[in-house]
Amino acid sequence: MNLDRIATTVATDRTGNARVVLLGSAKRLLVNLARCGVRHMTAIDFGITKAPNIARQDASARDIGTPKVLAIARDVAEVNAEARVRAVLRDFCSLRPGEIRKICGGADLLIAAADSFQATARANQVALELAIPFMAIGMYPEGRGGEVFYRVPGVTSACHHDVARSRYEVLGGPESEVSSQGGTIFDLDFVDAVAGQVALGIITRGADNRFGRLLDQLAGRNLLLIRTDPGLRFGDRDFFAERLGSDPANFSFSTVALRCPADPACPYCSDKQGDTTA
Amino acid sequence: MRHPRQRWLRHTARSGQRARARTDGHSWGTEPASVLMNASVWRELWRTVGSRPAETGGILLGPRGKSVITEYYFDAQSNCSAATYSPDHGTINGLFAERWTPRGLELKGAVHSHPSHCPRLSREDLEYVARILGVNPRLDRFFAPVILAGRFWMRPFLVHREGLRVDEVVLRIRDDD
Repeated sequence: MNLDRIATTVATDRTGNARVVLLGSAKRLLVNLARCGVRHMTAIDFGITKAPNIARQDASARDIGTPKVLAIARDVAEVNAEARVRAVLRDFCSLRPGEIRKICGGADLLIAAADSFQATARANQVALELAIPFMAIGMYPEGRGGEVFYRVPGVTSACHHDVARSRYEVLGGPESEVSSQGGTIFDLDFVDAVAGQVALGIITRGADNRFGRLLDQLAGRNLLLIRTDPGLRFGDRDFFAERLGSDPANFSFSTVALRCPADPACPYCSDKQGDTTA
Repeated sequence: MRHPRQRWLRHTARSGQRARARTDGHSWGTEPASVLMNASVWRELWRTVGSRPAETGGILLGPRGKSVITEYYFDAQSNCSAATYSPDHGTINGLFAERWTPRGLELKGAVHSHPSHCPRLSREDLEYVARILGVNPRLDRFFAPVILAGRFWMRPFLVHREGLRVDEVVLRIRDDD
């Protein structure tokens, strides 16, 4: 793949050697990482593309009836002939530890973009156990916004449990599962575009270019809230107005990056919070 | 799991080997061993047993003669402690008689949760399964997944009548909505 046009901003020598594991069916995210030179990818999901997916996900008519991970593999190959996607049609929560080590061990990034909160929670634990960088992408109800959380060993301490504690506490309740119902492809693509850039920042951290500096510029702000609807609120709070001001020019389609501290009593990461630079 | 003094345990397979071999290419006991489950059941498992403290459980059901789990009943009234899950036999018996059997459903297994430090079927669990198999001569395998509370990990165990052999199988999920 000819990467000349992005070589000044993306360390393609690093993306070419990176291993990315995706949990879920964020096809465009993986395809766009392939456009940036990522060649070694794994996609884990048991879902089959259905007709309603076309309106709100990056699926097409030819995908209907096809396992989502196989559609990802095909589309990635069409964009970057040197890229390979290992498609795993399995439930992440029932994979054995040995299988998980084989799939995720040594990965440069594990991305959880699944509807299932439990799968994301297990991915968080897996990333902690294997000491690999982790990213979780979530959409808010009706696609009014989304969030991107990341943890990079040696850079940030908090794990997903620390920033989403309330959701772990209401597991089984209506708040733990956020439906993508109502979210449009524009909402999804907007959030994935932010996630993709952070992913590049993680994979190419330290390179002397824009993305190579991104993680240092974030300076430990490990939770990015993304607004696609001007009316997005978190309960009574408007984090965007609190952080960016209430001028009408601060309208929407914006991101705030928050620094969420690690929980010293976290059952998952309290023993892994030592060495951070941020 | 314990205390299998249940009539409902008899409400099970009339499925023979031939019926099993017909279904979807996912018949139990083929290589690689796998169990097929509807996505709606999978989601409900996690929403209930998978979201509560250890030693809760539920019943897994499917169409008679087919090797797929299509229905799930969360045993909310079970007698739970930190160490054991005891099914609510009275309610389950009634549901088999009034609802499930008339719809052509049969028992396929039972799911329950363990504390995260107990990742295997316990001796008591296997005794329980043995009793179920004992009162259901046509049932030669029993799906007994264990959910490890707090670890978001499900271990899909299949217990075979022959020697009470336990296999950890591959759980295959199929979309059903």
